[in-house]
Amino acid sequence: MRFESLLLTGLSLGAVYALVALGFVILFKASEVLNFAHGSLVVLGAYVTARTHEIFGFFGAVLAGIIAAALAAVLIERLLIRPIRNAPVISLAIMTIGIEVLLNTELVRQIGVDIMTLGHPWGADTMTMGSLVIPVNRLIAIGTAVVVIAVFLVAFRFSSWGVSMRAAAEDRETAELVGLRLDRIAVVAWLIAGALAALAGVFLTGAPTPGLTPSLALIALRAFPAAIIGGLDSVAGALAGGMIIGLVEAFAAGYQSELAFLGRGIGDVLPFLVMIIVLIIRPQGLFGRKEFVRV
Amino acid sequence: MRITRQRRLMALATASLLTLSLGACSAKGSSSAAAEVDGVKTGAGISGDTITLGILSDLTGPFAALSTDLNRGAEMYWDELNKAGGVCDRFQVKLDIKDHGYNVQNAVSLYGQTSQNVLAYQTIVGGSHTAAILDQAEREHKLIIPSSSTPTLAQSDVVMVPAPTYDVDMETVAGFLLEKGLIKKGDKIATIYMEGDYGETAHKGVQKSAEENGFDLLEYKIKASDSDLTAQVNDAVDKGAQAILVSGVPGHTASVASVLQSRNADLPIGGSWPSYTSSMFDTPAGAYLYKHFYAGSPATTWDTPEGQALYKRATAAYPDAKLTNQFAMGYGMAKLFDTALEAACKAGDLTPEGVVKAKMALPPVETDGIMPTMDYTKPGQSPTRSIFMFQPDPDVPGKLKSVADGLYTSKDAS
Amino acid sequence: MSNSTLVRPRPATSTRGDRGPRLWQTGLLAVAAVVLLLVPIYLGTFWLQLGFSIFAVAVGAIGLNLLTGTTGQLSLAHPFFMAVGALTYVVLAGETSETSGGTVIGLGLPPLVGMVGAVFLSGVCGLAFSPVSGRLRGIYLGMASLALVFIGQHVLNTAVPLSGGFNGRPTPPFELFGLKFDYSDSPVVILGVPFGRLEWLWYLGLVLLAAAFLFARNLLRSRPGRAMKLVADSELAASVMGVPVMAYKGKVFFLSSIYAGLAGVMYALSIGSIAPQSFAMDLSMQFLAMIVIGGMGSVGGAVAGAAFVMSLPLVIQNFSAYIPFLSTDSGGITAAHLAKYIYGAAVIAVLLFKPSGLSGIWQSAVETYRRKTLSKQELVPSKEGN
Repeated sequence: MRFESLLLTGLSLGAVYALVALGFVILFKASEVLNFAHGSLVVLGAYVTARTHEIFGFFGAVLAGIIAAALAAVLIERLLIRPIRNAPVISLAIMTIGIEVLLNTELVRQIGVDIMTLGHPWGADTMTMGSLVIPVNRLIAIGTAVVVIAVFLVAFRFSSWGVSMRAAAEDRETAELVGLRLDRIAVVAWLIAGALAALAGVFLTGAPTPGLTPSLALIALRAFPAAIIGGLDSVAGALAGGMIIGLVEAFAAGYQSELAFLGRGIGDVLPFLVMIIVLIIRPQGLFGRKEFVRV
Repeated sequence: MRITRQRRLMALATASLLTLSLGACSAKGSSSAAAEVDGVKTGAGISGDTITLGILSDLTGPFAALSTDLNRGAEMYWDELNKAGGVCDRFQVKLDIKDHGYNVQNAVSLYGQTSQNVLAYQTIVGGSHTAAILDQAEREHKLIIPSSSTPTLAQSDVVMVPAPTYDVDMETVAGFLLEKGLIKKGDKIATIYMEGDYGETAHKGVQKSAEENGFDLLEYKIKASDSDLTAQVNDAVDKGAQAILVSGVPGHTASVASVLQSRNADLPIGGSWPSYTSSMFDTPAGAYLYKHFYAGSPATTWDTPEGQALYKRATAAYPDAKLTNQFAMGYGMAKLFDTALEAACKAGDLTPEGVVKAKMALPPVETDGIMPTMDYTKPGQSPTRSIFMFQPDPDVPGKLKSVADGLYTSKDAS
Repeated sequence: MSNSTLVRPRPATSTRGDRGPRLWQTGLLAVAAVVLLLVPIYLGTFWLQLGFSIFAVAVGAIGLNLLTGTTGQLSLAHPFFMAVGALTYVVLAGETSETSGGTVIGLGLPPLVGMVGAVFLSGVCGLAFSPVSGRLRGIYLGMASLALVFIGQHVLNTAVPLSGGFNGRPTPPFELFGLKFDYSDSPVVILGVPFGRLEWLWYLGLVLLAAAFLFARNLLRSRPGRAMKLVADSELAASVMGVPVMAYKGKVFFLSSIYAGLAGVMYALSIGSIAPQSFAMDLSMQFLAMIVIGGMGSVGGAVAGAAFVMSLPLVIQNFSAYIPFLSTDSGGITAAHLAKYIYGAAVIAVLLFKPSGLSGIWQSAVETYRRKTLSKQELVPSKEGN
């Protein structure tokens, strides 16, 4: 009974992490940058939703959150990433770190001491399936994530944007030569990544967590290992990585008394440990592509 | 080449001479002259007739909520006292508030920054933070009221803990639940406690209560940053816990309530005194908390006669703030501090050493009902074994309704 | 051939160039040295404590600069290696005692031995991790190094007999030739000033930083240093030139972890205790900010960046009375917030507008000055043949 309930929790958490990890991968493919500021986008979306749910109603607020996060992402891309897009990868990464420091500080200051609610209409409702009790929030999370990811995969495969993006990620120079507008591809990518982040934030602050607190940023941090485990240049990898991390986290929390010999709190480290192990075996991630450099 | 080397040697010689001669001019070594005001000896932290008290607070970390109200309460106390003439009818009190963000390193630096200019520390937030500077504070004779209450801190000559030590607190809470019939001897009780001085001390109290009452304990240690306690609570409920005792930050308590609510459980939650804030009751889990949460407060809830009087003045002074009863605690802490200052002043010695001496000679301190009688004559022991037991209630200001006619002392803890 | 060569502009690098420092550079150095040596004689607790913290962090920043700035390996793991250094020092040099977390073990060895041991052990850890770091590219390395930080936190929190757990444990004071760098009731008096812990630590920090600085600078000016820079620009090109890339990356990682270990010991001495929260992820970010703001690849820049980032929050707090919009309420902007805004914005500004950072600004100023003085000498007949 415990196993099934943990499995379900793990899958629902994993689905939400997959949303965030997907955002990472899109950004990496489009701008070749690991966005350290992504956690703050998650918090931004949730924050805007929490602030506006009494004005716009829940769904309006979610939309507001998505727009806010997407807009912030696009602004980041245009104003801060694009000017230095030819700089070494490290500089881009550190730029996102600078952005993270700013955004995170301001958001934490705004949320402050309160535990903010987003006004989920399903509140703390639960559904009982046999002997399993699962919060409705988690079920809706799985459902929404599956739908969103499916739509995205289809678009990625068949839409002109998707094709362009895959081409650009494959070989930037040739893509430019062929006439693809790399700038536009990047903007759309950041837009989508921001939107996905906001959506994830909505679910991560629903039941059974009490609401939006500054610690949401730490939770969003777990999506980093998820993206890396899957391989930063693989969409399928993002999904796999998200699921793996979600399951690891759920089982580590659920079996923590059994795992106590490793030290309490091992659940926080486990996603990163798994990530290191995967990286040692496959330095490019499970689904990533190995770069061959012949000398 | 030779020229360059000669030049370098000349530079070295000049520099050394310069250093030594400039060094001799320093005034740093001379000690500050001791002073006197109206026959009362003064020293660091007093200039003219203004006393400066330091506050090392957490305004940006996990205890920001608690700290803000703590500071407001203290500010109001000193404002009122200043208007009425000040300490000893002579000295005005000024507060120097600094933020360490719950980071021990910052706390240490800030202590170093401020200690020369303050008489003593009205408040230091964080047990481990206080512990880190304790050695130096003892050396410099700076009286401290930490916002934390552990036996280790209570042992020190320079510390006045403002509340029952965490172990006594939790023993009392458990005793209350037992007395009210919410739990029985021999029951399975889950205890969720935070790592660190605070949680681990509280845990010792729970363990003692378990020993005395035959409780079967399910223990879960958590981190300050943990926000989702689903696994722990589910585990406890599945194993048949009859109650959950929480010694963490308000976020933890809210999470516990969320999970219990989603399971349609009916367990009482007993909390330590730092484990709640009023914004917690506005979350979806609030409904559960209103029905099942019990905790103690070191300072009066707003609904006792003294609490009501204080509340009136507090809301007048801070009309826009959602005041929690941490305000009352801050006010009480200031009052305790004032007692030491007054005693020192009467003894004619308001130097830091004099204040510490005065504190050590204090008989049990009364605070006009804001706090229980605090007894500092036995270092290392909890200054009181009573707390203001309450349950949350949406219709009461501050949302805390006293459930034991104010001050409560559990039979276990006495 | 005539002896005088007229109207030939001197090249930008004077013929005297590599034979020794210019007079004004020596002068500047001398002045700086005098000032630094005199600080403990004149200034009090706040500046001494701040100074020593800066020295500690600067040592770490120099190490990170070698790794990330010069060789281009993104690492967030510095707090981890600092933690290794700090923990080793505390265990080797401390005494077994009771803390609020329980009993902590200490071997009571001389603090100098503790320091050496700490630096050694962090180096070993760096060496152990370098095969992993060598195989990982760019961002993957960054994330793997971040993982180390979390692992380090977990170990510090859990290994209570060593680290004291969440509350940490006090740092044993440093000692050199029987002189204890600690509070004393009868301190040594030099030039009329009683020398306590902070005064001694200042000089210790100065010496260690100077040594770290000189070593790094000489390394970068040598052949291995040039090889390192090539590795950063293009591993491919470096390999083609015969540089053993993997070996170099490993060695630099090892070197950088040694620096971090030393920084960790100094950090522990500066705070007076070690606790897990002192070695968390935000320290990683601060270090990266330091080397970026200072100018990646520049040793002096790393020190300048360290001074900037380290002193911001403390200086702002100290002078908070003069900054009107700061508040002490948790709803307003506190000094800690302001400090973070500033260095976050500084990182962004540097990357956008002046990637060479503070050291770049300094170099530009030096160039401008030199050009001004050179233009006077342009038409001077040269007595020696070039």
